[in-house]
Amino acid sequence: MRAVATPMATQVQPRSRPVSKAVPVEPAGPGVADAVHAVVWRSGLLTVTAIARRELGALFVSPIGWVVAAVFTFLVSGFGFIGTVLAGQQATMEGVSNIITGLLSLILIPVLTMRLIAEERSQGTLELLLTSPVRDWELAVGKWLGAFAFYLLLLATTLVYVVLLAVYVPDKTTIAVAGVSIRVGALDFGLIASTYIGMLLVGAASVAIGVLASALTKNQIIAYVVTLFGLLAIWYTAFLIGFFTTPPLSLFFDYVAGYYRYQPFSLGQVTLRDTVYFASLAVGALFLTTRLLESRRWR
Amino acid sequence: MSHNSGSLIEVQGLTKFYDERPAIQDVTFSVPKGQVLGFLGPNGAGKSTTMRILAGFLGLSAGQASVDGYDVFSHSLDVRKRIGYLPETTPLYNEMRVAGFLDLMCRLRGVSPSLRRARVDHAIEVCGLEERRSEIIGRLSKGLRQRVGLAQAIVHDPKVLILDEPTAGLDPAQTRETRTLIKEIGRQHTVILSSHILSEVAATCERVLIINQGRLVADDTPQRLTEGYGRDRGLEIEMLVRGDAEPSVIEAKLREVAGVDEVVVTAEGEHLWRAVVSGRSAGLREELTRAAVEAGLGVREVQARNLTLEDVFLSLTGDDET
Repeated sequence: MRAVATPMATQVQPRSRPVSKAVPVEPAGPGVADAVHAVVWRSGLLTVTAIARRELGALFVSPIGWVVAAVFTFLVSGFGFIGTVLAGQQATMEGVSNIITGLLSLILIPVLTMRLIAEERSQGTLELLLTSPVRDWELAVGKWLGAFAFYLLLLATTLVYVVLLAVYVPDKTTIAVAGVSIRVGALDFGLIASTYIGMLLVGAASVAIGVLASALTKNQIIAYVVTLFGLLAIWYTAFLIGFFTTPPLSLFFDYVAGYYRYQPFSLGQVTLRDTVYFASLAVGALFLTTRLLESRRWR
Repeated sequence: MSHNSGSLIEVQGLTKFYDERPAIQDVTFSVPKGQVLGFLGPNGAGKSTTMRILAGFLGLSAGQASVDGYDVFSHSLDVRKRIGYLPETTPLYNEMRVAGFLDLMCRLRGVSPSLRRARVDHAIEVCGLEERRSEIIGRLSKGLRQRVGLAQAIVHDPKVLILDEPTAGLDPAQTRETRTLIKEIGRQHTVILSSHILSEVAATCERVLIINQGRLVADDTPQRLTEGYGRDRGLEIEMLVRGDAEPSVIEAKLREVAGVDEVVVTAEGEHLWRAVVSGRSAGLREELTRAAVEAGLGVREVQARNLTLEDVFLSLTGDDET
């Protein structure tokens, strides 16, 4: 760990790295890969994935990611799976999906998203990002994608329970997978699939709202609290107001209540109306985030 | 937008308000390709604001600024492709490793995949980070962090480098290293760097802009600034003389010399006097020596006090103490 005395001293070290001398000043020749890269780069997708990759990496090297994963796994297996399946004797994924959409997405997603932009702001790295040729929407979407990917990984761990059910449910049925017939537990796979689609949509919208809250402040705690209350308001408050009001007002609140919008997925129905609801929440939140980031140039 | 092909950076009447308070007002300058330009001013003078506007991070209230012919406001993305920027606080992703971080910066700046590896290696080599390429940035010392900051600024081979206080907070050895590095980099790039340390600007820059309270107050080479200012202001000469005479007599004798404005004599030891003389004549040192010898004094030392950039700076920024 000894500090190097001068920069020049390290340069004469006999380390052969032949490429470093021959760096052309102008961008490379007309390689096909580079041409493709130039086109794709213009679309912004590469910056989005670069930002998302870093975000995902940061979650894995920080304790936050592991704590979230630990709490998630513990609660999902304890209350979602063991409670429902073993104690309640129901061979469904209902317990798992209910605890994820009803509780964990509310309290854990804000933990994943709170640092996304707030930390960049407080550390000053936002200046590094926004003085690179990165468009504001690329930053917003990249941040969203990074945290959403982590949420997807968490969701993926719950597939273990589907496998467990499929193996241990006494009623067996035969299904064909890629031409091979296998005997698995007689589960309602359509219902399970629609539940997962619902959980994906809930996660996508919640993470986007978290990104927006994180762009509002440089304080991560504030970002957490704003996200938590924002999600609570969308999920339950509208539902409660709808409960205590009469039509036509209650119709409106019933529609905007995330709780009602998720219900069809848990019943096996994937409807366009509810998909559009969650997708527009996600897109709307990311759009506002982009606008917030842009506003620095007008102030 | 600029049509002057000779200069890489064009700034016209640049003004920026934070709420009601002007951070910079009517700043105009241009930087030709290849120049190393120093931005000098006290803290809060508007250096960082100007640099942030050029780097596309902040908007502007009035005026125009362009880099390589692209307007920083309407063609922000084109500008940002062409600059490498090191913010004042050297923000870095602490959890990343040096090479990985530089690779990320390449990706964000559109360096094509076939060049990426070579560019990262090049930046690491120029900044003397070979030994540290796989170390975690959060564990590096301040000086090494600064080198990583410089490496990320040059990694995509930008046309213009904007370095905000690149040596702030470094110890003297690190400062010297960083200056050497900037000089090295300055051979291939156009560089704007800011500083409130005068010797730094004098050591690294071909040209100095002095900014105070948001306004440009000087624009010249470090040499010409000190020379020109010295001519207006006159010289200050310090003499050490030996003799039995009273201080008032010595003072009177020296005052007789043509061109002398002011003489202050203080006791330095037994029969040893220090005289500080200010005046405006070209051969003042010789004249003073002759006068002292004729008055029967032994002359031990005659020294012209060098005017430094510091004197110029302090007088231009209205905080004259010398």
